[in-house]
Amino acid sequence: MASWDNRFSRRQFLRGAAGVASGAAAGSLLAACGGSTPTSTKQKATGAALKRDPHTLVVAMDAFTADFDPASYFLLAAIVPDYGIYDSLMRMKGNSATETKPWLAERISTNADKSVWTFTLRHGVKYSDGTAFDANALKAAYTRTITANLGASSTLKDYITDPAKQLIVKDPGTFVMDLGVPVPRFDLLAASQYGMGIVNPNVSSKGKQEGHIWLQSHSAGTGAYMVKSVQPGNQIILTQNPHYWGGWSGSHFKEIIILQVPQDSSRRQGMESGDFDIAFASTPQDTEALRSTPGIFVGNQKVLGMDYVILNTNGHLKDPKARQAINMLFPIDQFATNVMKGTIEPPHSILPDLMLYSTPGTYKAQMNVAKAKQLLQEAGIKPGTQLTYEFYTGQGDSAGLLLQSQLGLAGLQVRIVEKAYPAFVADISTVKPLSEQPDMAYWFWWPEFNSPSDFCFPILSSQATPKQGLFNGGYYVNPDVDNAINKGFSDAGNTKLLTNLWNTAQTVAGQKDQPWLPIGQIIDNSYLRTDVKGYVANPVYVQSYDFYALSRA
Amino acid sequence: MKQDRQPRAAAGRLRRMSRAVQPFLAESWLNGLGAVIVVLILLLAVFGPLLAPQNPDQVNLLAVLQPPSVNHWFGTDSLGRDIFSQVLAGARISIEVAVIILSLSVVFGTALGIMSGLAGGLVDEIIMRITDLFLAFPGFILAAAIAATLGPSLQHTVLALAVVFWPWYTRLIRGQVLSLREREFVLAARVARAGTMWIATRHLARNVLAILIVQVSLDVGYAILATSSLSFLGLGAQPPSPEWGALIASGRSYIQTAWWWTVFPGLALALTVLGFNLLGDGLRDWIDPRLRGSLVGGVQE
Amino acid sequence: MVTVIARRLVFTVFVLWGVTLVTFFLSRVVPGNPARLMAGPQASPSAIAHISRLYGLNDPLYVQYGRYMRDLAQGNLGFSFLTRRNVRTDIATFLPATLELAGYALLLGFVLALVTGTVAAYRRGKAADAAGRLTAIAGLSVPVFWLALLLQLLFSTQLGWLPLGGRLSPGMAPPPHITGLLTVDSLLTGNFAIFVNAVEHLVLPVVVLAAGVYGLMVRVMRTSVIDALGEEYVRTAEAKGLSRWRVLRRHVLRNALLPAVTVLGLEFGLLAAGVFVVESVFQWPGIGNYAFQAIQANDYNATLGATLVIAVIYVVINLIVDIVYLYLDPRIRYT
Repeated sequence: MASWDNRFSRRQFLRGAAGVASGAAAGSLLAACGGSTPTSTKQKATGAALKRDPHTLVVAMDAFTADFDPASYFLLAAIVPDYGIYDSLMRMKGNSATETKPWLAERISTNADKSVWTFTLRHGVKYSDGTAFDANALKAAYTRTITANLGASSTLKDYITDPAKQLIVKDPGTFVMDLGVPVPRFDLLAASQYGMGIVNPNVSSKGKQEGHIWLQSHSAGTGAYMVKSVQPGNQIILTQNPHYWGGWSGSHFKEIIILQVPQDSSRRQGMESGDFDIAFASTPQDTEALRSTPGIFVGNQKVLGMDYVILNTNGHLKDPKARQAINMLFPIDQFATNVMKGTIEPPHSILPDLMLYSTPGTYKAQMNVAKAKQLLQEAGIKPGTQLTYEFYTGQGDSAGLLLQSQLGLAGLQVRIVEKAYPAFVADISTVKPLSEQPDMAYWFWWPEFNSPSDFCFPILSSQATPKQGLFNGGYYVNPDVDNAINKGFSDAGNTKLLTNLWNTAQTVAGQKDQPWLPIGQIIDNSYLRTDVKGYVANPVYVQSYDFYALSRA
Repeated sequence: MKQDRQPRAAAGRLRRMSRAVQPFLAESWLNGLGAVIVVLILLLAVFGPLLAPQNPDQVNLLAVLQPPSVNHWFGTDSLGRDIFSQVLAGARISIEVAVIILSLSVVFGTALGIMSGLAGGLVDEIIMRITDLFLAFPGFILAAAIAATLGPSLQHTVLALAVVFWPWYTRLIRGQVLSLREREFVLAARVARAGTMWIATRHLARNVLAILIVQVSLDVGYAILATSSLSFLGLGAQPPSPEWGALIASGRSYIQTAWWWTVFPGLALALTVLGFNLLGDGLRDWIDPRLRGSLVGGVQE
Repeated sequence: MVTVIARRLVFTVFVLWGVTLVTFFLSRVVPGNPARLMAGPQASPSAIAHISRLYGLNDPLYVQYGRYMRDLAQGNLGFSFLTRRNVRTDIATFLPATLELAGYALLLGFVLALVTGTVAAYRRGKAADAAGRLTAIAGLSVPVFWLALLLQLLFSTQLGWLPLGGRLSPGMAPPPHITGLLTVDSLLTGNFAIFVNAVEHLVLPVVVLAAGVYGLMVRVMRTSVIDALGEEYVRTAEAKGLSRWRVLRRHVLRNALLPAVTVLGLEFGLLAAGVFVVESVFQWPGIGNYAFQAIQANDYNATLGATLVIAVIYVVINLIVDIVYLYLDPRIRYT
């Protein structure tokens, strides 16, 4: 079946390739709590005037990664530019988390047991250098992704272990993928932003690592835009791909400038002054203020992702009762509303809303200090016990401080440890001695495509612990959850079976044997100027913008 | 001959100094200002925890991001913590940090400087080369690199800054030692077969003390500033530490909605450093006006 | 004198070698796997191993150092894991931005210090003198990062007069690259709009950096003006009836400039520290920002390269200062 050893994931860079790309980055929706009601310093009747070329779109994100190689880019920090540069065979439709639409594949069909998928490719598609795209190029591109081993290969490699045999060119316009096992919703995988981008195979001749190095400052895709220039750590400029199959009639942006603006307050200010067209969200206070600022639109699309605090099943929190107790000490509703100002939504299940098989109601947030104390006692945790809480800079600091104060009510001490991003990731995804394992760690996750198995495997499967180098950092083991995950992959067509299994899994993990303290469902609060039209947020395509579809009013 | 009188004069001045605070203050109102600020900060550092209206770590979700008011003189932060209490706690941290950094660098640097100056020859050569090597790096960058390498924390920053500061003292003290080495009283002591260590500690120490005091008072401000800068960049004190640089870094995201979070800790920091610098500057001018310009870290002529 | 300079040069080379040694081993002490950083955090173990082999990251330290020194001799500073480019290219890109910033800060600080120092010297002992001293010490005391934030808040956020950061407004294309200094390049190519934009972006960071420069230089200026005023020839000139302004210009100022050079080494140290935080606050794409991100990301080569370049500049400046010192007074013995 699938080879899981290299199924690492990248979503940790959601808000802030912060750990890597930018030292002082603090860009985070969920960075902190707030109370007062500030007003924007510039309340104008119609929003700030645009003092630059209206055909240029300026996007301010906290940190970008300049990696234009679909075989390797796996970070949100790279997705933002790359989504406009590379096409996949399918795309998610509108704001749906479950429907796909044709993209580079005009038609898609499958055989009886859904193990062989046939894609009829669009005619007249060219890469940005003018070379033609066809089934041969596609096979070469996907083969490169699988064999170059650069990190984004997991989606394909799960099913294509022998690309020569399993990727079939029937004719230049027809591409067949023989997956070997039934995958009823392979269209969802074909629409994934991760690992399914299609590069020009001639990049392999452009230097080291099959052109990977060249692709750090150049692009070679079929998408609407291409890289014009890159200033690392500063900005990326994209320009129109003259050969784009969608054509350039109608109103489209000529240039896209993607800026790195690590400071929250700077992103807010840039929106208010009209310097930016789109910006990643700033603090909850800023988001609240901008909601009532004329000329600015603040998104509120739920994303298929969750913020949560990993609870380590080694050490103090071994007993499920202890973990239940922790879940009764954190005021999730108050946190989401008063503190995060509605920029996250309280969780209803261990799976995010809009995910297939998600059953809202299987998790209920409740605060009960007395009960929590009792549970702790039953679990054998004495008052005065010290737990460690880890987070990385800019992500989870306030939740930690709140936890510290709340757990204090039950007599527990919390030692808060802030780490730089790489060290933090090492702590939750590589094996460390028990004394170095944190009891609690702030994390978040979203899937490559809409599948609870894909979502849960790297973070909850007993085969995805730090021993395997994956992100089940709490070493959580639960047969019901494992069962649902595994069947989800192998018995993907059996809806009834899976519904029952996932129901059980969510009930168990949400109420009895809790792997984490869920903080909330992530909401995409991107800021946009109201004169930028055409924006449709998709729950699967986290915080990425379809530049071609956007235009200035 | 000008040199001759210096060590004796310096020693004499030290004695007079303790009886002569008044003239020092009278020389310039800036000296007085510096002294007042320093005394105030030291008092706050020592008695801060007693004076703080609240526990700086006290989270209060109902009083988040409040502007300055009667209840919260400096307002509250994103978790409702009282910023005034945090600034007071930060005073203590800054002073502690400065004391440690300077103790480490003064002790180590002075010992090395005396050794180098007295021993001469190859030992002197080696020590001076090493000293110059460290001085070849712009100090702040070296400190940042060390702190980042060891892992961001206040302790590592303190260590890193001690590493950056000690060469200055080595050079300074060595210069003093060299100019005093051939003085008569040293030769006389040698003749009397007093041990070298004894010479070092008794005579030289007394004479370099004045220089040291001035240099240290000038360096306290820099030590505090450097620590805060490194904390601001994320390499020093980590949250929830109320260290001033860390507070300013935390408040930065909220600068539009809660300016007080950035302004007040910064004000405290600026005033503290100003006070120490005014004091140090005044001391330098007062102890020996001829030293002016040469005590910024160079070899004394 | 020649022998002294020659000794100095030999010593400088030694120091530079020592710098590479210290920085190299410092960067290697770091916990963390650079191959992993290079491959990307999601890469498979085999991909990481492959990259380790490719860049020789598993070799013993002394071998790596030897390789590094050999490359250095050829002018190759290695490959940055973070930016995926040659470090030399990165530095060539980012250094001019810092030079432009530091250069103007030095200029502004110098001019202000000269004015204040001269006034303080002429009005010695009076209120203006004390005011000069206070502003100088204030300039050295105010935390650079805090001042930057406040000025940003006031002039950019509240008043909207100046931009928040960066070298040019987003969407404004830079002028053709000649020196890398935007103000110079834009003037040379006749792009006045870009020049104005570049200047707007320079104002706040330059003012912030200049505060420290000013603080350090005022005292020196004041002292040297006082000393110059006390010189025989000045008194003679004044006795002869030359106007104060002419005396100032002809004798006093010229002699005041030299001591300013002698504190250049210290100025550089100050600027190096200031540039780090100023570039961070104003998102200035200079070498300070670059070095800082490299340090944070454990990017060996970039850290090494940036530190080396900064140290080289520092050493060279100190060398120049020492030579100037020597020129000023050949009687000075070096200890």
